[in-house]
Amino acid sequence: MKIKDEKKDLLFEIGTEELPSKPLNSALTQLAVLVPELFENARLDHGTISIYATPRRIALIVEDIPLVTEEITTEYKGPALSASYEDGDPTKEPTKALIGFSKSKGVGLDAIEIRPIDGVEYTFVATTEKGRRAQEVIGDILRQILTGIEWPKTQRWGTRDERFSRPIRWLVALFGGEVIPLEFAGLTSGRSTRGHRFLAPQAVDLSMPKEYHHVLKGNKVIADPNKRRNVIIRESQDISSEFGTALLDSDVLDEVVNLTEYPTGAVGTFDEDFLRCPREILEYAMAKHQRYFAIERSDGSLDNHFIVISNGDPAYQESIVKGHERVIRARLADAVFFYDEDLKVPLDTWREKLDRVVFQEKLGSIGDKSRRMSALIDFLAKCAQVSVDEQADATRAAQLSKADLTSSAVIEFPNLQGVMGSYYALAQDESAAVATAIREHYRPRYSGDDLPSTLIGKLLSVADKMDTIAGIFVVGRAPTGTSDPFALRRSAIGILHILREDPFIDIDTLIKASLDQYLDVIDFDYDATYQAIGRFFTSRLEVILRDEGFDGDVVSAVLASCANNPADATLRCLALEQFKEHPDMIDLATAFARAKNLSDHAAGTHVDLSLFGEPEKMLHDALDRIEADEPALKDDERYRELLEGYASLRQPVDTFFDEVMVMDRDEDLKRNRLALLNRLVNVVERFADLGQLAIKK
Amino acid sequence: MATLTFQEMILALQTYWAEQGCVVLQPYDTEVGAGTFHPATTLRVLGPDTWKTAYVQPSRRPTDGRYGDNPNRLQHYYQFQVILKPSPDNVLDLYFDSLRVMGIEPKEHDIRLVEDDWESPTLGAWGLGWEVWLDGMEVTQFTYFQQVGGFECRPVPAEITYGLERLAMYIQGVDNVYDLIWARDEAGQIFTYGDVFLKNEQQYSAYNFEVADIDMLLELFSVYEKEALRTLEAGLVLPAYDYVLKCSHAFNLLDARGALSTTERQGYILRVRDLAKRCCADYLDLILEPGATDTSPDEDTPVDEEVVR
Repeated sequence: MKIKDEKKDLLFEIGTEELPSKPLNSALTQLAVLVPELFENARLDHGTISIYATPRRIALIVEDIPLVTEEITTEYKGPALSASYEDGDPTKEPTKALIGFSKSKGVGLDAIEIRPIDGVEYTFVATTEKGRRAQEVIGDILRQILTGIEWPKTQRWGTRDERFSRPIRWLVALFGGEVIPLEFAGLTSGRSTRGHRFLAPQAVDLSMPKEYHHVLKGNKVIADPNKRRNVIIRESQDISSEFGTALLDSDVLDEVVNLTEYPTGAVGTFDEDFLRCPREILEYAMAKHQRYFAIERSDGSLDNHFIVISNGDPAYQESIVKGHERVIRARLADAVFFYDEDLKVPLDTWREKLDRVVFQEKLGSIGDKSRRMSALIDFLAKCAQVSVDEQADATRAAQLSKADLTSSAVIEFPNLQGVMGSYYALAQDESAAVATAIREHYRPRYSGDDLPSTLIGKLLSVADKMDTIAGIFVVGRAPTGTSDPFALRRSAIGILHILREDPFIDIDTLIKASLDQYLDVIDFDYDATYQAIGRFFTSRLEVILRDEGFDGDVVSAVLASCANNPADATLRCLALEQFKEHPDMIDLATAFARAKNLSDHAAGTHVDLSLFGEPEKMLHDALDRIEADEPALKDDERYRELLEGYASLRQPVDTFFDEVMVMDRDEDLKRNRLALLNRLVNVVERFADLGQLAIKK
Repeated sequence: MATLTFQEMILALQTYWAEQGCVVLQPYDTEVGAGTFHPATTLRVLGPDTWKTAYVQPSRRPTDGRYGDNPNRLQHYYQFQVILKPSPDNVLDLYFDSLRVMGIEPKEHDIRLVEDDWESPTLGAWGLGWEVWLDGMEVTQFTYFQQVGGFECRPVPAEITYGLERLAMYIQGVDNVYDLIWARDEAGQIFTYGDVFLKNEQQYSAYNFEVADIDMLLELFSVYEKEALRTLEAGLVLPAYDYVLKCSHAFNLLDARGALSTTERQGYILRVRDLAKRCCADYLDLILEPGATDTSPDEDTPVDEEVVR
């Protein structure tokens, strides 16, 4: 085999102390892009790239790398022949232009070639960049990998200035059987890797990249995170089958994959008595505190077994599990203690404690907030036209919604706010509707989360979020750039999603109702705040609609007319998105933009029919027809038909512009025609600012 | 090996770390919230010199008191603290060997290092490291200090903090801290943790939560603060630092008494931090050649924000 065709594999392993899980996953995602890019930049050909990681290492294997980089020939065009030599004759003296060109390419005049382009002779130079030895190039690539990963946090260690997520302790760089020399942070690369920290602590030499997985496996390390994940899933399912189904919480799964080099699943038990606690507490303690998987019985209830993914030696599993059982017992005993203690306290007592919990420095306590929420939900309930009973439930839910914030369980497990409140409400004979609303009023907590399942829950969620938005705007802490400490954007998006599903109030009325609650709390510029919150909601609605795939021009057109009603805005976007490619619509959009440019508020919309010629009359009649149909079509949300009506305006509008001189010298005629155009703009804009569709054409 | 008593565990750790060349210190004689506040850590992690120390530090967290009723929580407990500056390359191996001297063979357990980014708003300090989990129980915090008092740590020290009660509960297989065997004589007479400390927990919990005089503590905080500043002015950073610790403890008691609103709380934390930072700056001035380095503190790293490289 010729050297030229010979290929070798590369192994690079960065040996570290235990890397944090999430940043490690992000590093792997980055490497999947970075590594091929570095090879490409170095013009080094390669086969499959595989990236592996455990808590103690990041590794990559790149197959089939040639021993030299590609040779590159580049041709440069120089001056025309006529400008290159005296009289354009190559046998005569070269010109300054040619000498300069050849010098700039680093070649002598003997390397000049001459070829015609489109019948004109030009000079050319071809330069060849020799292939570099792969070994040198790989050294550079590996250095760039070490410094090219972006970590959310980095540290220094010992006396070194280099930074990494955690200290680097060894480097393996093997190209075929040869070590690629590399120095970093006082370490020199070699062929020596490490096995499991405790089960195979000695250094192990690797002779070839190909034996990497085999050697590591023999030393109790599964280098491929996907394989560890599969082992964990399979073992969890197997072990749990005796008791039910393992609940494989995805965050926990991601983390235990990166907490173990040699995972083994084992089952532990806790006292059945703990099951009288709300399952959310038990699941939270198991998942968030201990990284265990809970098990659900076939009847849907929680089982008193759990799965622990151990990084230890299976031979000692029994005593390892005993240790874990003791830890979870202590955790759950704490949780049960909190729960039992909490149950002894009436919710209304906690409610009083809320007066001592600060909501925001200038806006008083959480107690104040829940009183504002109660007032606001009364108003919302009226808007939603709920029954008398529901009205009472809504008020009660608002009064109690924040009470659990002072309970021991929520102080210990903050993520269970709302959930614990609903259990405590039920235990104290509040209605199921009240309990459900309390439980669900923090929804949606993240993008894609469920909305509250009941109307009262929705009212409560909107009241809570709107009160926060209004209050924070009132004290001038509206979100800026990336700073949104009160998560107002998420709150606004939550409100918009709820109102799209259940449009019980429009945005303007909602903002005002909430701002009114602050009139007695603090001095503020009501109108400016109201406007600012309105713009804030419009911008969030725009983001939602664009994220759902509507074109920007459609969204802008609709929101110019309908930002106040998110449900209706969505329907309008749907209709307009489908209809905007209609040929009449495209023309109408242009005509509409023109009409809008000309429109003059001073001219009003009252027209004098006696001054009309035929084109004006045609347009006027067409508008009459549309206005006659409009209420029924809007009520039934038959927006396509409405749009068809608008499209039918195209012809009269075009005729009007073709045949009528709007800016007539006769002031009366001019005013009358402007009034007609104003009317056109008014009618169409009640649906959308169609001019937005024309802008990009 | 027979199961270690609480005091045998401490002795084993002291002997082990002494063998590793550490200066074995005794606890600092002022109330502190954690071993980190001992000047042998806070101040001596700064500067270019080598420093290795190990010590037990009684730590007071008034708000964690439970009147002796809770099997896990104490307002006064013990930390065993190790500082190795610069952090040696085999620092984790050294740590795991220290478990072995207490009878814990790591390969017989499920040991995991779980990401734990440490920061102390009151010290203007942060570092990266782990919680060490022993069969699911957090027994140690391990931190590579990056910044203390707003100053970069160069070289980087490693801090190892053992939670002695937790570790002992694990080793002795005990579910209630008060049942820990503190000492056992040849005749088999036993002193438990409860024998030694139960009454303290009951009395101090009552004092911390109910009795401590709020007005006096507020007054003391100001007096201590003034004295710290005055002593710094006099060029005596080490005694000045004692008054920072006293401020910090007065603040912790006020906190336990629920005497501070959220905003006030923040204000007091910042006052302690300012003092701590000044001490760190003056300490660097003390140990370094004049003008050898710029000892004006680095820009305040807002400790609640991520430190991005």
